[in-house]
Amino acid sequence: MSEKVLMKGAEALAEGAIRAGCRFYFGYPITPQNETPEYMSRRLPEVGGRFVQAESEVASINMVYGAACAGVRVMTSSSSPGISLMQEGISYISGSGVPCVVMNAMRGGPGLGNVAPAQADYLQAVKGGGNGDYKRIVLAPASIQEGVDLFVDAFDLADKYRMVVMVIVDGLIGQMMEPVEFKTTVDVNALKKPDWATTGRHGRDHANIISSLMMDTATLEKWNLELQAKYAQVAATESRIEEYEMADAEYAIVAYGTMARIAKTTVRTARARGIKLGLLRPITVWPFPTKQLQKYVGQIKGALTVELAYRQLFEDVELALCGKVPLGWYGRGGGVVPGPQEILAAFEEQFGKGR
Amino acid sequence: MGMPGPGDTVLLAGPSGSGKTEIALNLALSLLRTTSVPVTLADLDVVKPYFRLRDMLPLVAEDDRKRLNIIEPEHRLLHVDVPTFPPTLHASLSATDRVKIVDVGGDAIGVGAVAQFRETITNGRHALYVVVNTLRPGMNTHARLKQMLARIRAGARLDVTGLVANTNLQAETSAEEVQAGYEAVKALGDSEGLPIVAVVVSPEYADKVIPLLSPEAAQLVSVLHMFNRILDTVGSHTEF
Repeated sequence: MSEKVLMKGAEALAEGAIRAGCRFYFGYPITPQNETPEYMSRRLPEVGGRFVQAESEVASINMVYGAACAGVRVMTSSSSPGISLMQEGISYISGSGVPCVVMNAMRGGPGLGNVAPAQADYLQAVKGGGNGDYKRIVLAPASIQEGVDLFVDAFDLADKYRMVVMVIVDGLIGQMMEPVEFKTTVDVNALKKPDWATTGRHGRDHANIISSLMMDTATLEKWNLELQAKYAQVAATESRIEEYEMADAEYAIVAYGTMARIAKTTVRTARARGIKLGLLRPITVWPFPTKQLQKYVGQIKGALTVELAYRQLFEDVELALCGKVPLGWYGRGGGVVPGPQEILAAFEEQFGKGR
Repeated sequence: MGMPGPGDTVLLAGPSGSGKTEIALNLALSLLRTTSVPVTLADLDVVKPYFRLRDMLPLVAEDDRKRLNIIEPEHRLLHVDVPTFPPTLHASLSATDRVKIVDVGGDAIGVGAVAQFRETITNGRHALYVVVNTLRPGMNTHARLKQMLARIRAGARLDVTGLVANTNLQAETSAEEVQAGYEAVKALGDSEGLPIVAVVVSPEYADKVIPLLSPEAAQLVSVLHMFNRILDTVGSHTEF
């Protein structure tokens, strides 16, 4: 018998975070990820952790900031409008160089939008959001199991680089149920207490001070250069991609998350019709797997970006392939999710029958 | 209760994600197919943002559809994050000419929502079945199953009629898991004086699982189609 259990995505990701060593969660409810805080509220006290339902998303992210400064594994989760409210805090946390994990179960926007699945917060996650020159590592799982596994990496990467790591899913991954297995359990007692944490002086000759405020221009520029060097190192070493049916592919779909999963069915259908189609699925969307995409320049005759947004992922594909591969795009918004046949129809419309 | 007839109410309760909606839907479809009785299917689960019973209407033959009355929150209210029941609910639950199948919400809080209709429900013949999937988190020990049942009983303020063993990992389900789930639910039933009324398997794995079950488990098997596999059916027609 397997060790699997049947879980809803939003619950499984919460358990995945706890197995990854998360002991502190601060959040405010919003559909479609309410099962995450609900699950955390029940489970964290069982493992010696703390759950606080804050009075708002702004308060949540600042509680995360506080716990992160104490060097513990901490996270919050929300959905699009709630994540927008957290941007100031995310910028402060990034500017302070402390680690945390933020999950966004993206829903239809802009504004309050609706609670249906979407990927329209892509640019907010990978390019901007808050103020200043900062980056987050952004992980985009395509299944509940992958999300659970990636949470271990999310906390490790956050600690290693002292960065905000975002896990972006769409509402579908949060709401669907799948069998899942928890392969790794991190022993939080074995985690090294960081020497920068603000948990008391303990006889040290200096006080640890964490702040994103640096009034002196030279000091702030030096800090920015340190951040940039760190981001360059992350960009060079941490990008990940899944390449599916790409060995002999003449065309590729580029998609991430749930959209990539639906596109896999498109690839199988297309191949049954004799179209040599493959799938390039970024697992990290920042750093974007640019080099992995560029490998196919010369091999593929076209790449169709598919997303639940309007030309957001497409921008990164365009930058990566720099006019060297003919590009197509198909996207839906407002919470509409296209099926595999609709993706195939868009492919055939833009690239002919692919033969 | 046996085969439900006009005026009877069948309530399905259980922990979140145990399969109540699927079983309610299967029961309604099967009554429509095999009898001439009109059926009301009421969805009182207010925490289910991406799944609506109404979307399943195409599965019902056109003639049978006339005998099916679906009650669920209005679409415009579905996503307001405020638990609402349709205003016609009380009248629908009082009907004496239809079978009423009620999919109640998860765990004690969800099932508490039906407690307000207690008098209406107990006026007629009724049965409350608790659906259990022992492969859901926190359902893996006898003590936890007992706690779950105690919470649901307290929340519903109705007597529980029987238990439904719905242990599964979707398509990955093995015979050992179905058998172990049956045994765990049987042990719960024995300690609480409740019968198991069904062992549920899906057609995806029914053939490989059923021959390996113990005779007691096998005689209770119901093969139910599972509808809520969103990725199998997703398309721009899907309303969330």
